Amino acid sequence: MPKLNDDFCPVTGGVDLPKSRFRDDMDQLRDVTIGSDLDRHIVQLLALHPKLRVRFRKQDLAALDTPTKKALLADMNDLLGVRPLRKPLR
Amino acid sequence: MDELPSRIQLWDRRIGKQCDADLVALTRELAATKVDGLWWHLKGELLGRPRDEDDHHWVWRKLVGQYRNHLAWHFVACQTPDGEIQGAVGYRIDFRSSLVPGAGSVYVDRIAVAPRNRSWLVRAPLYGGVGEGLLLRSVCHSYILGLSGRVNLLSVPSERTRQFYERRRFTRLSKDDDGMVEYELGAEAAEGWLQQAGYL
Repeated sequence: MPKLNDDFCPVTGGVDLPKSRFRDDMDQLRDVTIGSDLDRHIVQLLALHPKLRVRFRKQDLAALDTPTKKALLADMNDLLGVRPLRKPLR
Repeated sequence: MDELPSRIQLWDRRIGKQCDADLVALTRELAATKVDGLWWHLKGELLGRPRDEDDHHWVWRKLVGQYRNHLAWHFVACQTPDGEIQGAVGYRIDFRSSLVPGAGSVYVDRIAVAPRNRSWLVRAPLYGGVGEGLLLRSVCHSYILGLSGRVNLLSVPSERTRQFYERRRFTRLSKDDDGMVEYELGAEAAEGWLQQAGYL
C-alpha cells in the first residue's frame, strides 16, 4: 500500500498542450454514449489498440450479454498481456 | 468497473489512523456541490492565502461537463464516508508516450486535493494520501487499458511535488520557461509501483 502519511498534496496540471502530443486516431471516442462501464472499457481498448480492432472488429456490443462481453474482455486482456489487478491486502 | 480499484486508504490526521475512502466518478453535480461550492470555504487557521493556490480558479463542474461525452476523458474523485470530496483528478487516455515512441500513455490533465487537506495552507489538514491514491488510480487505469501503466503529467514548480514524482521513478522529460516540469512514469516504474501497492 502507499505510504499513507506521505505529505504529498499536489496541485498539478491545467496546462494546454499541443494537439500533436495526443493521438489523432481516436475520434471514435468523441460524443459517444455508452451503456455501462464494461462497454466503455471495451470501446476504449478497441480505440487504443489497432491489433484488437483487426481481431474483434465485427463485435456489436449491443448484441452481446454481459458474460459474453466479459469473455471478450478476457480475450483482449490475454492478447495485450494485461493481468487482472488484485485488491491490496490490508 | 470491477477491474479498477474503487476504494483506497487515507490517513486521517485528526485521529492518526487509516480510514477508507471511495474512488467515484466525479459528476457535474458532485463537482458543483462538493468541490467548486465548498472547497474554498475553509475553516480554522490558515497558513496561506487560498487565492494564491494554483488551482483557485479551476471550475471542475465546467470541465466535467465539457468532456462528459468524450470517452478519452475520466474524472475521478476521492470521497470519504461523510460524503465529502477530498480530492479529484482529470486524465485522458489518448496521450503519446515520449519514452516509447509509438506507444500510448495516460495524461493527467489536472489533479488536486481539497484545500482542507493541504498542509501548507491550513494549520490542521484532515487527510493524507489523497493525491497519491488518485495518481495511482490513473496508473491502474493505464495498466488495464494495455498502456503498461505509463502516465505523463506536468508538475508545478514546487520542489516537494517534483521530489514526490522522482521518488516514484517518474522520468523527467523537460522543463519549460515557467518552471513546469514534464514527467513520464515508464512501464517498468509503473509496474514496480503497482506491485508495491499490492495491485499486481
